[in-house]
Parts: sequence; structure tokens; C-alpha cells
Amino acid sequence: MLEAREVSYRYRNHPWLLQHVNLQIHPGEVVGLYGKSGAGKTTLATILAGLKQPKQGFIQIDGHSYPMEGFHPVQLVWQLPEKVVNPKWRMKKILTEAGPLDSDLLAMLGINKTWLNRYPSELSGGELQRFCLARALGPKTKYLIADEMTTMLDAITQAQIWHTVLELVQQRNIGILAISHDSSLLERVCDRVINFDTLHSV
Amino acid sequence: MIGRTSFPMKVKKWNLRQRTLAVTILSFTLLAGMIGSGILIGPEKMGVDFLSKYLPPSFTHPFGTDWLGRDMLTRTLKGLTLSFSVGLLASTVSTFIALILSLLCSVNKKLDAVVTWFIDLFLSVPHIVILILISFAAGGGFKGVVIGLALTHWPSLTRLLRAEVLQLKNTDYVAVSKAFGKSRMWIARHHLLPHLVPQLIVGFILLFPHAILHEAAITFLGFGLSSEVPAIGIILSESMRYLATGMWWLAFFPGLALLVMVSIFDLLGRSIRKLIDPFHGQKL
Repeated sequence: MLEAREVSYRYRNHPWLLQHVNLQIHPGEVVGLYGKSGAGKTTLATILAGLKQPKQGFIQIDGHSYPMEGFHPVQLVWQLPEKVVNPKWRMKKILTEAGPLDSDLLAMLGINKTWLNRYPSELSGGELQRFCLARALGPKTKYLIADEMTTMLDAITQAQIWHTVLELVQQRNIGILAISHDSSLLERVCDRVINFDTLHSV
Repeated sequence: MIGRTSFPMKVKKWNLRQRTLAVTILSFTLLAGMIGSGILIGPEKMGVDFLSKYLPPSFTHPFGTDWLGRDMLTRTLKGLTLSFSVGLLASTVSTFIALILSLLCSVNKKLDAVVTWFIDLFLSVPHIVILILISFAAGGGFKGVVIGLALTHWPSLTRLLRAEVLQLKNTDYVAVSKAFGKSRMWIARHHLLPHLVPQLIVGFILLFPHAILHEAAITFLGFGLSSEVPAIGIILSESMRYLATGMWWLAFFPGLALLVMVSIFDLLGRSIRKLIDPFHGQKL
């Protein structure tokens, strides 16, 4: 179980952005997090993925506290895929950075094998996002945080990707936190939806 | 005029990339020619010939001859070759120091402050003063000059690389790489280094003219290479004694040659920067 307890965070010289956030995600569960722009959803996502340390409170996975060594069991899929790939690397290297290639997963996500030899600037945002998703869904990933994962994609691609992700969640018993301001999408894919405003009290 | 209008001249205008490439190749060839001919000149050409001393520039001796009848052209080319090897050694070591120090900056804030302090320290003292001090302390001669040059030419490049490293360190893809459990060394090798390579190459080439000029300067002042080697600095300082008697060619041509070599290096560095920095970055 991924559990955030009493997590608070503020950027330097700014008022508290998150205060006393409590959140639990079970394996195989798809949790939606709905909130307005600038409310701190992405900050919470980076804290849950272990990229930022909370100022107060702690996060645990099955009783183990952060920080974690090695491949992080909570992986984040970012809103803007262009920023999370090294522009000087070919896609193949970008994928194998996280571990060996899984051709079944690539096929499921609709990644064309010929894209592997390209540079990030030669792919579209949607294509890049598939790579980021494939990279985040390594064999050691137990939880996935999808921060506006499909916001920049068209409706058909959005449906395709979520279909694949939900299938994988069932197969591997992965827990998902889907962050979006598109409440209808969340209602559609999630087991339960949390409003970000009720999560904490600033 | 009629011919011109009916048959428009087929002068293909080169674009910036082609022109830059041409300049790069041309300056590289010129430099290679200078260095190559300097290396190929044997000791028999450097001999003393008292029958032909104090000769002004002519077809047999384009740069004239000196007070021992030595051909100034061969001496100048030999001197440039020597300057090149000094510059090559010193710039390589300096670039390497700059790379190591800039990577140290990425480790933590304390190390960053220490490195920055050293950069400020070295930049606040006039270059030539530390250069003389270090090369004197290292025993002078070829070794002293190279050590002195290597230890004084890293700060500005380090500052450039440090800014780049700090910026790269905070990118999202480095954060993601950490989440994949990659070590600091792995990230430095695979994420940072490919972005630093263009800066390193350009920085290395642009260090050359600096190093060469400083080598000539301290040799001229008498703190550098010993007086029997045909270094440009030595040639210039010796020719000062004959300048008053009207033998202008002794200082003019070697000095001009040094200037030409330095500007070609500068041109080469700037052209390569144009080629690899903005447009072609990702494929390097």
C-alpha cells in the first residue's frame, strides 16, 4: 500500500501549498485526483514519486519509508514528455535507461519499432508520451502516478492509452493515481475520485 | 551588359553553414601546413651561415636572416611548431581540469562554493603574474611553461561548464534518471557529458591562442623556455637588440606569423562553435 501521512510542502518563501495531506492507494486500485490548476497536484505527484522531500510528514510503501534505493517503485508519468527525455539520446537508449526492452509492452502501447532509432525531436508529443509510459511501466513498478498523462492527446489516443494502462493494472496489480482537471475522464477510468480541495486544508 | 542580362551569372551563393564549413576546413589546412612544415624542417636547415648574415627579406630568404646567418623562415616555423605543442599540452590539461571541476560543482553546494571561490581567485589576479609564479616555481623551461599555462587557463572555461552542468542537473530527465536508480557517475557520464562535449571542443580550441600568446609573452620576458630553443618569444626578445639598427624583419615576420596563427585558431574555434552549437547539437 502506498500511503502519504500528514504530508506538508511549501516552496521557499511561499505559503504552504500542501498541508496535512493523507492519501492511500492500494495495489490494483485506480484513484483519481481532481483539482484546479495551480492547486499543487503536480507537486504532490513529485513528492509521491520520491523526487521531492516533503517538509513535514512521510510517505511509506508497505511500511518502508522514503527515500528508496535503486529503481523507485513509484514511477511518475509527466505532463510534458518533451521535458523528461534527454534530447541528445535516441529513443532506444531512453527506453533502456529504465531496463531491458519489453516488446509486448511496446506493442500494447502502439510503439512502432522504427521509432526506436529516432531522436525525441523527431516524434510527436503523443508518441513520446507512449515511450515515457513504457519506460515508467518497468517490471519493478508497483505504483504509477499519471500526472495529466493524456491531457495533450486527442480523444482517440487518450482512450487507447487508458485502455492499455487499465489492462496492465489488472495484469500486474499496479496501483494508479490519475491526476487531472478533466473530471469526466477520471469518473470513467477510476475506482474512486478524490477532490484535491478536500484532501488537505490550507 | 546585354550578355549579363540574358544569361544570368550562375554564381551559387553559399549559405552560412557551407561558408562556415569552408572557413573551418581552410583554417584547419593552413594550421596543419604550418605545423607540418615546422615538423619536417630538419636540423641541417637551421645551421649557422656567417656568409649570409643580416640579409633583408629576399626570394632565397623570405623572412631574411639573423646575426648568425640563420634563415628566419625556418626559425619562425620551428618556433610556431614549438608554440603549438606547448599550447596543445596546456590546453588539453586545462580543459580536463575545467571538466573535472565543473562536474564537482554538481555534487553539492559546498563543493560548488569552493570551486567558484577558486575560479574567482584565479580570475582576480592578473593572468601573467600567476603564470610567471607557477612556471618559475615548477622549474622553468618547457615543463615549467606547460604546467604554468595548464594551471592558469581553466577558470573561464570552468565557469562556462559549471553553468551548463548546474542547469542540466536540474532538468526533469536527470530527476527521472535518479528515479530509475542510476548512480551519480552514470548520470554524469551519460546525461551531462554529451551536452558538455560541444562546449569542451570549442573551449579547447579557443584556449589555444591564449596559451600560445602567454607562452610567447613569458618567454619574451625571460621566464619561459630556455634561450637556445627557437621559440617565438625568444626570437622576438633577441631581435629587440637589432631593431634599433634597422633590422625590422627579425621582429616583424615572426611576430606577424604568431599573430596569424593565433587568429586562425580563433577563427577555427568560432567556426566550429557555429557548426556544433545551435543547429547540430543533438547529433553530435
